[in-house]
Amino acid sequence: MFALVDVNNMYVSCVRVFRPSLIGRPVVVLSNNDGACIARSNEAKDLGVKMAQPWFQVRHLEREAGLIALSANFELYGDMSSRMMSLVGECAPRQEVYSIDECFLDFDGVPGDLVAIGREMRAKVLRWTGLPISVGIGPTKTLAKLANHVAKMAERKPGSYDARLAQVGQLGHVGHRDVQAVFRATEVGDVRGVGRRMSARLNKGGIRTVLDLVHADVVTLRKQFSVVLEKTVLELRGTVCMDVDHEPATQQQMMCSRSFGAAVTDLPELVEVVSQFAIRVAEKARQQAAAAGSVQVFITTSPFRKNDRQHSRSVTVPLVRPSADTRVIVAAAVRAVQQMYRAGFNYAKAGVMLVDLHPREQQQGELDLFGSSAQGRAALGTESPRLMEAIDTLNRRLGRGAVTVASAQHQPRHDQHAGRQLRRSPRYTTRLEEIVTAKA
Amino acid sequence: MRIAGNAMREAGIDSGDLVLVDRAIPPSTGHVVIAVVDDEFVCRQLSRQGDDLRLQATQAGCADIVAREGDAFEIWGVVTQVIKAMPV
Repeated sequence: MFALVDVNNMYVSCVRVFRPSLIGRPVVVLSNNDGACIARSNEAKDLGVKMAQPWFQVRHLEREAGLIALSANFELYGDMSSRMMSLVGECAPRQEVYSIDECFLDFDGVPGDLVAIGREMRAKVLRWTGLPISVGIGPTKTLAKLANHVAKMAERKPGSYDARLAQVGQLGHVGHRDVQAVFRATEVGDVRGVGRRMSARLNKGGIRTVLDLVHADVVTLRKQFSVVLEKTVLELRGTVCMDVDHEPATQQQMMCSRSFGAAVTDLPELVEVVSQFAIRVAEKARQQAAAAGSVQVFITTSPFRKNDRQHSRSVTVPLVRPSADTRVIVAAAVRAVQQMYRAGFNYAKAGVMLVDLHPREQQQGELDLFGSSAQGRAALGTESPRLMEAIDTLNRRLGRGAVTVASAQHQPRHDQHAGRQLRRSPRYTTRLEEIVTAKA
Repeated sequence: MRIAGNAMREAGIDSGDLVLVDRAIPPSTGHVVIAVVDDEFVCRQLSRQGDDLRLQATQAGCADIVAREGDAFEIWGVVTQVIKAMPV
């Protein structure tokens, strides 16, 4: 059995832990340069604020409905994420961190009532970190993801699904009447991997609900759509096609992480591996025409080496403007490692994650805007899409790593990473001068 | 968290001190806790009188904050350590 665990409205929830006055009020979080809504509280969703909607379109709700807008604070989200992930990871033999706020758990071989385990996990994460999570459990990843969607909707909109599925939901036996009822009540577009365009085409062919999809002929679906959709349908029927770790990159985050063959103890070596991860993930971003607003890096020792002293940290570096430039990403990652590293530990794993992803076209427009000023041109000097294109071509032809950066030597000035954030919330958990004050 | 105010002086917590707050400890009476009262963080000692949970200051003159039905406060975490700044 698999579980998909994620944090409800992650970015908003992180701030609410330290600012209780925001609980119950409509809150949105804006992207790095305060352009678009990248997270919404349930109350903001109920006001009709859409994902990625430009701020200027909903700004009027500030006065009319008490909407509160905050700038992104990826340093806070990254730190809260690693707290949540480490707690959740203790609950199952295998964990795949899928993005900043979601992970899959593989409960293979775990006896007992998984729903009860899920409820305990939820209570513990809420108590220890303050973050509300939803847990979806199912025999395949696709069913776990669907169960997670159902768990969230059952809580947010009572009546939409069986109340017993709220917060922690299980879609266990596909043939069961309760599961069939969920399938009937869910539109195909809510299934992971079925995009808006595909669901429109499916609807045209008479496939509207998940139940329709499950009963459709897979061979026809593969011919008309893709092997991926075929796999999705098989997974909805309970056949495992996707194991933990076999994941296409999500649209919101990209990650490159790995356990080291041998423990790494010194800084130059750690900088080197993390640079490699950063290079890989920057390349991935360019392949998907995406640019990252922030770079999150973690390093950790191995909890399985009981005799080792343990150290595990994660740091998020915001970028001035979204970038997929290897040099910018590597420089940010190296800075993060230098900040986190402590001598005398056997580091076993590290990772680089690009968060706050933007499509590259959008970024081009902003670059042109900046390009008209002298300051903009100077900043442009650090960014070079054509150079990156050339590097990617060479690496494809000559093999990965043929052309790379001398990472440790590349140190950008600190002010390049400041980011333009007017409504940023304090970094409550990572900066001593920004911690919460309590009255006595 | 940083403390502002002198209501907990007898417990060894002065204004300006830093306190370590552990959310993993289940709060019980006698603990110095951080509670959320009217959307604000407040540092007090947790006590019980009859059926009422109370937040008590150690300084005289501060009224207890009482949790009654429909008007409950949330215990955010338990204070485990105090860090003081020395004059330098």
